[in-house]
Amino acid sequence: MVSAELNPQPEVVEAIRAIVGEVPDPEIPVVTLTDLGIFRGVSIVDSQIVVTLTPTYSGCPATEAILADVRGKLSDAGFHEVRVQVALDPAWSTDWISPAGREKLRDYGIAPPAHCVGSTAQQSQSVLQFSAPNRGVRCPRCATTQTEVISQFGSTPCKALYRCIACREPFDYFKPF
Amino acid sequence: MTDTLKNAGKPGAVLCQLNIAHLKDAMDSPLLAGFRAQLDSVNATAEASPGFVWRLKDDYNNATAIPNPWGADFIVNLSVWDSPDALKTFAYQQRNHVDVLRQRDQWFHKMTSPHMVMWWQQGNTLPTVAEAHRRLEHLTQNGNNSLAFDFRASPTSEQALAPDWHVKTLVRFADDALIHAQRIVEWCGHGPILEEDIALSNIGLDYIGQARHLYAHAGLLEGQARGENELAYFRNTEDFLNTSLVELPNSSTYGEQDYAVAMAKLFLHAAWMQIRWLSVAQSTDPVLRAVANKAMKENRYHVEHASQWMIRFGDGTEESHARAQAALDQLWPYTNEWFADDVTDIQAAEHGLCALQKPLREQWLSLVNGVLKKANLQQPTPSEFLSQGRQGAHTESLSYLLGEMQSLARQHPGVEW
Repeated sequence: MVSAELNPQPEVVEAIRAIVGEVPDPEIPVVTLTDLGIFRGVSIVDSQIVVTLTPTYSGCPATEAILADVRGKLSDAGFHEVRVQVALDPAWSTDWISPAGREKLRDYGIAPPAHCVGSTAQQSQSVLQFSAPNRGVRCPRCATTQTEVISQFGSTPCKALYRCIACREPFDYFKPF
Repeated sequence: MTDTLKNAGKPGAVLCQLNIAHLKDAMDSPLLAGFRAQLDSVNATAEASPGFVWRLKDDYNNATAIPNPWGADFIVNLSVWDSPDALKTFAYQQRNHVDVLRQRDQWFHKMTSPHMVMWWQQGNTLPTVAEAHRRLEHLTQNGNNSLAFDFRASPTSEQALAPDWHVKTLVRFADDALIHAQRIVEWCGHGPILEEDIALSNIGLDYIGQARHLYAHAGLLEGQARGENELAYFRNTEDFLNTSLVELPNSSTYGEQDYAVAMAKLFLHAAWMQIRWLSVAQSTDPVLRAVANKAMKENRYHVEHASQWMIRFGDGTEESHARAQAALDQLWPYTNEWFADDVTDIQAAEHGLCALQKPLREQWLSLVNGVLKKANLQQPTPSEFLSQGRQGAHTESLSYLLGEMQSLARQHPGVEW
């Protein structure tokens, strides 16, 4: 494998893409790094293969675990010389969660996020006008939108705590970011 | 706490170099005998080479027994030179060093990730193994760049080291985030309801994440062998540049812990940060820009959370209203500092690093007053009071806060968790 890395072939890049993309998220293991949109791709820089990851939230404690997992999986597959970088820019958005990822979240009991409206700067501006919080979140169990927010901060930074008024069950909502 | 480089003899930048080797057997094993036999002579040649400044060594005249973060089967070599050329001349033209290079496969495993890194550092500071570890990790993740490089790149010290106003601006952002986080998570386990414990821990985590990115970046640009841990845990009160408001205790003027004070502080500060992150979203510093674009998304939820509490308190009972108003009145004078530009702010603005603070006040007031109106709370009367936290002059409460926050790291220097 090492010799192939010196002159990366498209199939080598594909193999790496498959390995990294299938690494599960350490906090929500039903979804992969591809599902969450935190695996940003494979590129070749100065004939070196570069894998780019991005964190969800600035303080996400899973970031270091993800980096170690990805390096470990690549190394296990014989890709020792791949560079794995963490890029903050552009900032991750829940809009990057794949349709498959959204379905997996729902099946797992986490309501998938609504789509973000406007750019980050526009969203920031909307705070300045003090717009109302998100409404109409669908319960992942009974699918009603008769739900209410308990707290915008849940068990991890990326989730809010909601309650279904119809089935009375509390649930996690992956909040738009 | 940095020792002055005795041999540097000149101000300005020096070139630091680290290489690590993965031993095939123990240092005192027969396999390594040939390597051991050549160490003293190679090191003597290095010291006699033009442009040599310093090298890491213990009483045995080398660094092979010095503990390092790569593990017991790794050895490190850490040295300081006038320039990359001086190091290059020694490394590739001195016969006894070249001989060692040729034989290295006998003694060391071949390494697949980078095992050598160079970086520019301030000449008045000695490099540390911890700093070398950070630089090698920076090179491993990011490839050749001005802050960590190998012989294929040759950035100048001017490209690598940032001026004081740049580093100071980054540290001010980071200090505000860290100190505010430390105050906010004091409520963890003591919040009015469990959901608030969780909310404030999450908000604190966002702040700590923002602070870590900025400290790490500031440390690399500063070139004084300081990383996020050194900046957070090994600076004294007067070295912190956070605004005074964030260090204030969560207690009312009567001295009791008051959730209205904590929420009013979060509300005023998060509203300011929303405008401030937006104002650096186009910064000339790519890391500050990236942190800002991420932080403003996080901060939206902080503004929303604190605003809802202000409305709940202000528009609640007589008691909650009175407490919220008292909290605002008590904290309001400390917001003046946020909009008072000093020389650092002016230089940073001139270079496009960040915007001037003063013009942001109007936008901040409009956000704050929008919420106060919904909460039936009054904007406190203006005052001329000007706190000096950003200049390093703090209230006594910061010393107690740091005493608690830093005690573990100071009792166990070098500990990682």
